[in-house]
Amino acid sequence: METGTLHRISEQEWRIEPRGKMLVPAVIYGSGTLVREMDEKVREQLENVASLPGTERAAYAMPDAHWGYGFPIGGVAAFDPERGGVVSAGGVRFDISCGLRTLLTGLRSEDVEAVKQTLANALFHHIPAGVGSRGKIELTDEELDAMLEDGAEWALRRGYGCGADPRRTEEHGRMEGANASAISVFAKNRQRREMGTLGSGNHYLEVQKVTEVYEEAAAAVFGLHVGDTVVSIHCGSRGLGHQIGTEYLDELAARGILIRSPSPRGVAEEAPGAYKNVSAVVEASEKAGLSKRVARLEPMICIKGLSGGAWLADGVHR
Amino acid sequence: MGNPRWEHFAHGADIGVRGRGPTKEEAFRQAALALTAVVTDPAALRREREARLEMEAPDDEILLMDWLNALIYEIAANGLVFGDFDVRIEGRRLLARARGETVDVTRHEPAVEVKGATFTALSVARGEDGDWVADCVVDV
Repeated sequence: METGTLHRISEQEWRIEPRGKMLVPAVIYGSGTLVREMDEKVREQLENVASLPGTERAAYAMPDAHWGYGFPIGGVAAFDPERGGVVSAGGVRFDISCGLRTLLTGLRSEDVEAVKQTLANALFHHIPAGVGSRGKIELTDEELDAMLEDGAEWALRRGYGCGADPRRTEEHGRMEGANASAISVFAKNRQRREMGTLGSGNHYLEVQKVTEVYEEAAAAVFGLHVGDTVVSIHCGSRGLGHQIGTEYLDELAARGILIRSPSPRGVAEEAPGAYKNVSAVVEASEKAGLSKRVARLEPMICIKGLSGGAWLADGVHR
Repeated sequence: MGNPRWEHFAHGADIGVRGRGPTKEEAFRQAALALTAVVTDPAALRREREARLEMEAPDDEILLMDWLNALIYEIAANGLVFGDFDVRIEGRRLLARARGETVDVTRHEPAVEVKGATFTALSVARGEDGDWVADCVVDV
């Protein structure tokens, strides 16, 4: 992105004053290098977000922002429904409830190093990943609805977790007002087979070691110490989210509202340009006051769904 | 029907599926083969199971997206992959029979999970040679 026309507010904050149809300013967070690496489309899409009705204060782009579907990935905006605010399909995207979760294991990394190959094989055999894999969780219609409405509380009742988990989860792992009857039987059927599976694409499970602690007090609250082993999972709803998103787009189309992307490069969520220097993104986020580094985690084992149902890489990558 | 007339086209993050044919039906049929080929080799599939699919859409392009999404649904919800299709289009309606089999991880070595057909690069039109070309990017 050309930075000449941006107002640099601080080392990590850039601003575009309202122009054209923009109702509020656009704010981009990132170092000079990160912002220059961003596609011009991020600016265009962010300006479009700033032009949506009911946008509050500003449209924001995080340091890892990249070209999305109408809305930049890493874009943040709040909309006031009382001022005509909208729900943006591009902002919500398809992987509803996709995210990262990190589990404490109580193991030291040297314990895992000693049995890394065996552990990697065991994880590979026990974690269903990729097309054709099936989880061990079979849900009845009633249970599927309970899972959708009660979220983490449902998981806890079924024994998939322990007491403190919901407290450490965003929204306590349950969206207030969730209504399973608003979801089609097709979407539910897609979720049915996916329960307890990892997926493919950029979804993964990693066994990681804590290599550095930056904030002792915060790390202690999380129970993290240098040399500990944790497991991080990147996973989301996939089929369920896609089906719901597609059905809403169909509903809009039936009302004469068509959403089209003119270029094959329109959706670039996982494009190579989307992947930035992680350390630079973390540093920029901290300097911009968006987040604080607590600890550094490095992978020891990675499980991903890819060819052959799942393949496994055993080693360290950053 | 002759040689396969489908292909995948490049997309930064996902995969474009393209079907060509002298008729719209054939272009849709080839696009379905291109979709199956994202997951596994369509030519290697047995014809053990059959699904009848029917849908209606406001235009050709949304019909293509709905067609691909219906097949993606069969893979995701029922574990079925298809390598053989009969497609009939009557106005805004598509009626099809798809033949294939249940995914077998060992034999089919499925490559990637397709999450859905998208509006990206979605196009159903006649090419310069007069053939129909059906394009869609699928999210993987």
